[in-house]
This record gives sequence, structure tokens and C-alpha cells, in this order.
Amino acid sequence: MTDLVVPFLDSPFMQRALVAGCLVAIVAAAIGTFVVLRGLSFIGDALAHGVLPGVASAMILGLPSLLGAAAGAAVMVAGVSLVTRRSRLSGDTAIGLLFAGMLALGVVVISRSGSFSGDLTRILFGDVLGVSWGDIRLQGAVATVVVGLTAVCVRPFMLLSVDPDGAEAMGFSASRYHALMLALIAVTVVLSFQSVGTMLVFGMIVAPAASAALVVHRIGSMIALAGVLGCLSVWWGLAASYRYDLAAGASIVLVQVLVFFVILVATMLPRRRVAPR
Amino acid sequence: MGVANQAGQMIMILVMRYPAFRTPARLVAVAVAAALLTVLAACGGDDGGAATGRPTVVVTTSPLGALVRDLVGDTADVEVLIPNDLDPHDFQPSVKDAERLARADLIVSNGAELETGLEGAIAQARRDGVPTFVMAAHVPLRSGPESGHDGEEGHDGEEGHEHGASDPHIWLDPVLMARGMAALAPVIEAKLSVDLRDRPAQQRARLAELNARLQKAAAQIPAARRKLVTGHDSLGYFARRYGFEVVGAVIPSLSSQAEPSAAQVGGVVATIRREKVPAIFSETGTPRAVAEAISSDSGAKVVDLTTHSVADDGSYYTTMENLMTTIADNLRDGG
Repeated sequence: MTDLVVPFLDSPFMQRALVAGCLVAIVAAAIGTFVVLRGLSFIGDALAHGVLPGVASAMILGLPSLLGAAAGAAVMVAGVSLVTRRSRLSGDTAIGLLFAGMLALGVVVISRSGSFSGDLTRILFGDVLGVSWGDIRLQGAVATVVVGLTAVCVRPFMLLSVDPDGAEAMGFSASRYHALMLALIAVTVVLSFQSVGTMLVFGMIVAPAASAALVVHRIGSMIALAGVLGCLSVWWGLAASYRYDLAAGASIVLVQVLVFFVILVATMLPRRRVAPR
Repeated sequence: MGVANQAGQMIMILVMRYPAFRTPARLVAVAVAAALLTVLAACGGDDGGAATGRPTVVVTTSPLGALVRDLVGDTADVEVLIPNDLDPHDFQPSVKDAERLARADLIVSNGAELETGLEGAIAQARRDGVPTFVMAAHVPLRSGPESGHDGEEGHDGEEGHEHGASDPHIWLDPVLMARGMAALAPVIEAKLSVDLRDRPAQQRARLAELNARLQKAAAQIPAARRKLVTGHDSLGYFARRYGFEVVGAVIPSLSSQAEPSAAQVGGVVATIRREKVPAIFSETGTPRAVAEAISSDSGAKVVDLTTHSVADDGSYYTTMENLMTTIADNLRDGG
């Protein structure tokens, strides 16, 4: 039990990692719930990888990596909507094209750059143990905006998830809210990649929301439960990284996915017991 | 041209199968795109290299490249494969790099799993008959730090040789390098058919002088302050030669590519505080943010150290002296 608390008491870097991780978990819960409900996982995952060339270029040019990530996400979204609108190809194909292209561009940029601090492993897996209070303040500000916007748009988002035609009929522009949702996913990815990297950030978005969706059905409770599960996973993941000497970012995401499967199994059990009756 | 034929057939199949491609305008677009890509791929085909008529030695890393250049003088051309500012642990070769390896008269690599990304391309060149010289095979290697290293005593002693990986950072010890270069000189003369005359002896003398200067500089640092915290475990040979103790690393691994765990970072912070180490020496490939976090929690400052590349003048000797000066300056006045 002490292993869950002690590492955080006298290590400031653990406290910063916990706060930064929980901020990501809260934002991821708000956005992730809609990603899970609307089946937007593929575009979300693609966004997470699409930021790679942006981040790499920003590091080489000496610009803030957040800026590069934002540019990468914008190119990704613009590219996907261009392909889907200007060809008869499905959205899936468009996403796959952009996803692979952006990932490859990122690897090419990194392979020929001489950046002192920018390298592929860091971008892919993040530096949750290297978060500074300055990073956290910025993350906090962005998190507030994202959560606030989600709260304001919760009704149209909800309608969009369950009944897009109904949403249109009620006067909400489905395409506008779809674009807003994509933008919010992009912001969440950009916000989170510094802590857990572009490879793992999507686990943060999907896993707690999916876990919550197994248990509760109202959107508000899903977001709340996803947030709680996400924060607990950050806590347990960091503690496990400390106790068992594991890579920190990966531990967090691993715990989140484990939590999902534990809940999945747990929801299966009662049914078995009930069946023979 | 088989490729061109295949491409032509592919286009024909596309045109016949998919109505969209039958419209002439689209067909033209496809053809233009194909032509553009071909031109792009063919661009930059001729690289400067060679043409001097001298044999070419391709060396993987810049520190080894500097030493080989120093050894061969104008008897051969020396090409360094991994750009000076890149992390050799992380380097992936391009097709052009593979071609340079295949055309070399001799390949000199560091080995001991330093250039993991290059191993395939070097093995291919070796199969094609290019002679190779692996430096790590000619010097005694030390094994890496104990895995599960948590900064709790147990340094020194070197008794734990059972641990697998060998430390590849041999170029950071001039005495080892004197040995390795002595083994390389006859190979160069045999494989390139050149006469190095008294160059090997001169280089041995220069390396011995360098070692003497470094010994002297290290002696200026009080013994109690000769404690190193590095980006990854890169200074093992250097520390052993000049009486330092490596007490911790941002990434306690022989490669810069490992991921730090919370336990490791916590261990390094604790070690720095306990041992009152004034500086964290950050290297190519060190996660800057983690180094800064350890710095802010432990009070030690982050100092950039050139360990995997060479100084601006391209000299191995300058590089090693700069390395010692940076370390000495930051350990002497800190603490």
C-alpha cells in the first residue's frame, strides 16, 4: 500500500508526472467518451500519429513542439476532408492514406535531422517524468478550454453520437459539430503527446472511456467515470513504474487497458451466475 | 527496363479495370504523376565521392572517422557514414548509405551494438566482399552496469561480469584506441595496398601524449568530486581510465534508446543529492526534459557534453580534451 503513496511524497518529479497525467486523463475522458460513442477511433489514432512530422519539424526549427503538433494535426484533418470530399473514396481510406503518409514523413524528417534533443523514441513515447510546472500550467489552461467547450457542446455532441439526422433536424449543423469534435480530439492529442507520446496518447483517450461505457450509459456519468478511471490509472501506472522499474508512459497506458479488461470480465461474471437460474 | 514495363502494365490494368481511369484527362494525370515521381527518385543520383583515384575507407562514427583520417593522412579517402551530430545508437541508413558501404574498399565500424541500425547494411556489404574491421573486436570490452541499477551502492569491483551486454563506448578511452588503431593499421595497408610509413607510430605517440594530458587534467579534480552523472551509460571506459566514478545516468542503459522508469529517475535524484554531484552531463539522445526534471529536483545543473561526435575542428584529440575540460570545469567549482 505504501508503494502507492510514498514515491509521490518526496519526489517532486513524481508529483509533476501525476498532475500532468491526471490533466490529460480528465481531458481525454471528456473527448474520449464521444470518440468511443461515435466510433472515431481511427481518425483519432491517425491524428495522434499525424502530429509526428509536425513535432519533428518544430524541434529542428527550434519552435515549440506544441506548435508543430498543432500544424501536423491541422494538415491531417484538412487532408482527410479533402480526400473524402474530392474523391469517391471512403473516409477510412482517406484516413489510412494520411496516417501512413504523415508517419512516414515524420520518420524521414527525423532520420535526416541533427537535432540534439529531438528523437523518435521521445516523440513516440513521451517524457511524462520530464514534465515541468510550466508545461503543466499550459496543459491546465488548454484542458480548461477543452473541457469547457465540451460542456457547452455536450447536447449537440450527444445528438451527433446517437442520431445525426435528428441533430440536423433540431437545427444543429452535423458537419460543423463534427469538425469541432475533430478539432477537440486534435487539441487533446497535442496536449497529451508530451507526457505519453504520440504512440500511447490514444490509449489515454480510448481506454478509460471504453471502460466507463461498459458500466454506465448516461453520457455525463460516462465522462465522470472515465475521468476517475483515467486518473487512477495514471496514479497506479506511475507507482508501478516506480515499484517495478518500468517505462513510465507505457505503464500508465498498460494499466488503463488492463482496467478495461478487468471491468469487461467483471461485467461478464454476473450474467454467468444468473443464467442457470 | 523491367521496372518501366511493369509500371506500364500496372497502368494498363488500372485503366481497363477501373472506369475512372479511362477518361483521358485522368490518364494524363496519372502519367504525369508517375513521370514526376521517376524524376524525383532519380534526382541527386550522383554524389561527389571518390574520383580522386584513392581507395576509400568508410567509417561508421565520427570519432573513429577522425582517428582513421589521422592515421591514413592523404593515402586514402575517409568517409564518415553517421553525420557528426546524430546519435549513432539511433541511426538508420538510407539507400545511399548502403551504396557507400557497398562501394567501400574497407569498412571500419565500432561494433558492440553501437550502430544497431547499420548492422544489416554492413553485413550485406561484407557478403558482397567488402573487407570490414570491427574496432570492438580488437580491444578488451567492459560489461555494462548491473541491470536494475538503483543507485544503491554496488558500484566498482566489476565482479558482476555475468551480465550480457558489452559497453560499446570504447573511443572515449585513448589507451584502448591506441590498441585498436595499432590493430587497424596493418589491415589498412593490406586491404588498401597503401604504405602508411611511420604514421601508425606517430599516431601512437599522439594518443599517448593525449592520455598524459588527460591524466593530468583529471588529477586537478579532487578525488571526492570525481563523480559522474551522464545521459546514458557512456563514460564507463573514460571513468575507469581517469579515476572517475559513474554514479548515475538519466537513462541507466548502454544505449540512449531505452525508456526511463520512475524508479530510475528517483534513484538518480537520490544519488545526486546524497553524493552532492554538481552536474548532469547531457549527451546526444538524452531526453532533455527528463534531464531538466532531475536537475530541478536535485539541484545539479544540466551541462551538454559531446561524447558521440567530434569537435568542430574534426580532431579526435580536441574532442577528448574538450570532454575532459567540460567535466573538470563543472566538477571542480560545483558541489
